[in-house]
Amino acid sequence: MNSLLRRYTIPLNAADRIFRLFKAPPRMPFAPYFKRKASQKFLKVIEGEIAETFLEVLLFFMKVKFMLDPSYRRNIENFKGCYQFKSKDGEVSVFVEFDSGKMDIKETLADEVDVTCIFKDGRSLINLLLSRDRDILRGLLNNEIMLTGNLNYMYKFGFMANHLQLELTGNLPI
Amino acid sequence: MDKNSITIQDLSLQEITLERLPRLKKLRDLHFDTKPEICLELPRLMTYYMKNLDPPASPERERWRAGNKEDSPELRSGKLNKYILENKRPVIIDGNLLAGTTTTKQIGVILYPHLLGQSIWPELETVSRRKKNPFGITIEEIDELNFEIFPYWMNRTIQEVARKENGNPPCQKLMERIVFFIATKAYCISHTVPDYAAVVERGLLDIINEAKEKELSLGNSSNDKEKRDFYQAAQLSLNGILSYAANLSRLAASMAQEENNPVRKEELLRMSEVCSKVPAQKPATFREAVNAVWICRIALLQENSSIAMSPGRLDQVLYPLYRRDMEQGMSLSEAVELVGCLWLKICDQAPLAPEVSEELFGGSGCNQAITLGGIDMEGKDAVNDLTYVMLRATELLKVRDPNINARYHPEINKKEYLERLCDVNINTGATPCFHNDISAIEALQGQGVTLEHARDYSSVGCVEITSSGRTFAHTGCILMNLPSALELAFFQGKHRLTEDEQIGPVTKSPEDMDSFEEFREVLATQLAWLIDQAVTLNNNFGKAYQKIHPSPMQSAIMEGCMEKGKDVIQGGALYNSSGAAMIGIAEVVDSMTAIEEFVFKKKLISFSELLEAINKNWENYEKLQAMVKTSTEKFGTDSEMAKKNADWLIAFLHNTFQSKENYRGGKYTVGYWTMTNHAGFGALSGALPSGRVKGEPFPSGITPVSGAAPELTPCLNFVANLDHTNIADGHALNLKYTPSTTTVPKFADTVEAFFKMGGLQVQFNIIDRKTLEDARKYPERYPDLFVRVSGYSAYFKDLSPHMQQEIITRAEYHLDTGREVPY
Repeated sequence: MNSLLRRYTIPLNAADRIFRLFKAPPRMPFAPYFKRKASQKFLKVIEGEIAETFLEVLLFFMKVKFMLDPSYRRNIENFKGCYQFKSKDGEVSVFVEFDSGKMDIKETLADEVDVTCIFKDGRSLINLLLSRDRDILRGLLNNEIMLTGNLNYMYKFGFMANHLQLELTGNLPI
Repeated sequence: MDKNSITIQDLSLQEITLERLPRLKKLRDLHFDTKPEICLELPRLMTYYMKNLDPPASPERERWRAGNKEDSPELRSGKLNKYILENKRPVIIDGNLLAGTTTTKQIGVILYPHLLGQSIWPELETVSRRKKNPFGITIEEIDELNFEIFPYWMNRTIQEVARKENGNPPCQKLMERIVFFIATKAYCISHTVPDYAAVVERGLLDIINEAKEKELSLGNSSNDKEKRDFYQAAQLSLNGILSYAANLSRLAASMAQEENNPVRKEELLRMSEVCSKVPAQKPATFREAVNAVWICRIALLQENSSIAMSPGRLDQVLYPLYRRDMEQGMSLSEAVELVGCLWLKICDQAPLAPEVSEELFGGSGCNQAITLGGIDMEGKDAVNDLTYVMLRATELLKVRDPNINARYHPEINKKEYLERLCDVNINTGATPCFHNDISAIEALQGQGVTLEHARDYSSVGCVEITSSGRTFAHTGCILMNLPSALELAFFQGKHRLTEDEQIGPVTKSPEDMDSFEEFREVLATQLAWLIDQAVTLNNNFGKAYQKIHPSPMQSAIMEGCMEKGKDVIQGGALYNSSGAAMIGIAEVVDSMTAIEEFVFKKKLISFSELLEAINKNWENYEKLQAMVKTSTEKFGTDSEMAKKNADWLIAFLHNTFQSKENYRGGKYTVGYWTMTNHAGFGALSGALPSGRVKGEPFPSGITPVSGAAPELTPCLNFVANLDHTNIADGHALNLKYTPSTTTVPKFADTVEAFFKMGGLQVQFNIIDRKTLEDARKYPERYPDLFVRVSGYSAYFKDLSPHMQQEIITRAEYHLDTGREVPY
């Protein structure tokens, strides 16, 4: 799952550490590149071309946005929350931790999380999280998504994911 | 002269029209032209208070703890109520004669942050543009919710506190699969009728003084400490209401000063005067009484969710002052106008629903039931002039809330009253619904309610019956998908939607069953297990309320709490119960009957073959499906077999629920009403042995499956002969009549005959399929078309597609022939 994350998160994590050390956004020489790359990937996914990599792309884009966009970073500034995403077939296990403005992504199964989302495939996650072509009912009908734990954490995550989609497609409320 | 004698000559009050009441016409137009907006006032006030002023949570927490004992939950709630009401913005927003609004908007969507308010979080940036029931919200409000309000409540909602306290128990996980049951306390606990008679007969100051006296008479025991906290919390809450009323009075006075129109100026001055008196003091006029009820209602909706918080028997509560004012010269027109103003105020808010809820269960209003007519506590005819005034206001306005429930005692109430009820039903198409006093009173007595108190019953929410102002019942705390238990019985504790997961206990495989009784036993095992899960979760939620959100304001206006010194959530009310609504009963009975008839009696098919057919959604089994569907052994017919199965199921559910105790020491009662859940649960359910295909809506309430009961008389007989003492949480029998064949005398005769046979409740849509289909196609042409769903009314355009389909295909009868109209 994590080729994209592996490829791009090393410089991002380094920048993140600098940011934390100096308590100011780092000057990232490739920031526009990262942002463009992430946007393109995300758009492709939500347009249905590569739904199977949705989670990977979403988390990558989220991380980039948190790094580079202070207004988006505000979403997690005083927030602590742990999420487990698992595919039904057991192929994907991603642990996401938000802690005081920082987002960590690991390919692992964690012991304690606030909410767990078990999904059938990328399309079912898109149906759950994004507003365009949202079809939660189908997800329920086909047993494609199962959430356990504190649902408010998933609601918050849903807002952050949805915001990215609306921004990229020029559909944020004005 | 009899205290309730009818003086109105023309009971239909035909001369009073909307054209002659321009205020009501304008307000009604405004109601239909206004898009509801999410209101942040309550979550903003709650969050600010909890973050900064609630002692156990404030920055001064440690200092506070060192010097003081932590406040009890009751006291914390009392202080919160006072803060909210003192700081609630007084709003006089339109030409209504009543001051105050539930929210700060014309039609507001109240967001309760401690309940399921956060379910709208993912959709904040799209909710104003969604296709079905959009709600207005500004960018600033979105930011405030996203950054300030919602994060604070993430671990503090009833649902999450209950989860944490009980270690995310299996029953809660089960509910979150949605397909088995819903325990609604995470969303609301309001299904009840406050004691508005006390507000009108005493005024709040008198109640505050009673609480003060009781507080002062207490000693120092720990029990007394709890009581002291309760009495203090009640006083704080009621004083909050008085502050809010005073703010309204000041606002009306200042608006009057700036008003140039002399008529409106006079209205505002009068409004100011009224709010300076009530609800603090006992009202002296009809107008003051209506205002007192309205202001208390606004306040109660700040404490608890608006869903099904029902005003009760207002034609009884308000009648003495109505009569006094009529004797002093008030005209009938003025009375209808004032009642109409109250009706329009009651629908000044809409329930919050995220998109998936809209899709599954959408279109519901707040189900605020008002009960009219029937008999009084002494058993005498309670129908009065005000009953007819309220019926006329209902007929003129045709708004979905309040939900008008009419009581009728076939031996005591006059036939002309029943005929007027039918007339209003024909003219509005959907309201009121009809309750039989004889059966309802018996059902309540079966639950230990005294005869006098049972006679004083009101409907709550949809159709649930409770003794007015003295019962804390949360009549809709569990909504159970009955066919899901059937599935568990077919598949040894598994459900087709949740696939290989073992949900219920492993029971005998149908292939190994030798008799129908054996199958019934398995079904009973799965039902009992499911009931246990639902009850456990409801009790967990109830305990979470006890810990973080008692209701001292509600308790102060509820008989029993003052005497016991206990909050309603602790069992303070005179009567305590919890109500569970069963969804899909006709499908379950028809499925049981099909199994009995075709598998075990006639042996035309094996059980495994039948299960194979439903697993394939009847594909390649069309002949079998047709045989099952056209069987005459159906719920709502003369079938003895279906009747026996229905009786067994209803008795089993009643006995099993009654054996459980709720967290307040009360019993569980069972009802058969469904709101819009029969469409939602139907969408989530597979094909059934009844012949039903996957995803079809279940029939509503206790109504037969559409097409299964082609004759009206056997249908009414079937339901009337069910044991209503096992249906103490009420039922909704939904029927549809073709308008062209529906005349008042015939209509009234049918209702009367049904009641004389023992029927508990019945309700009608007087509308044909063609109109409904046209309304589905062109919703803009029918903005105010409202229909009876299952216990309450809704605007047809707001309903989910599943629900619209269910109403269109619902059995429609020609009243002159008594036969179902072919679809």
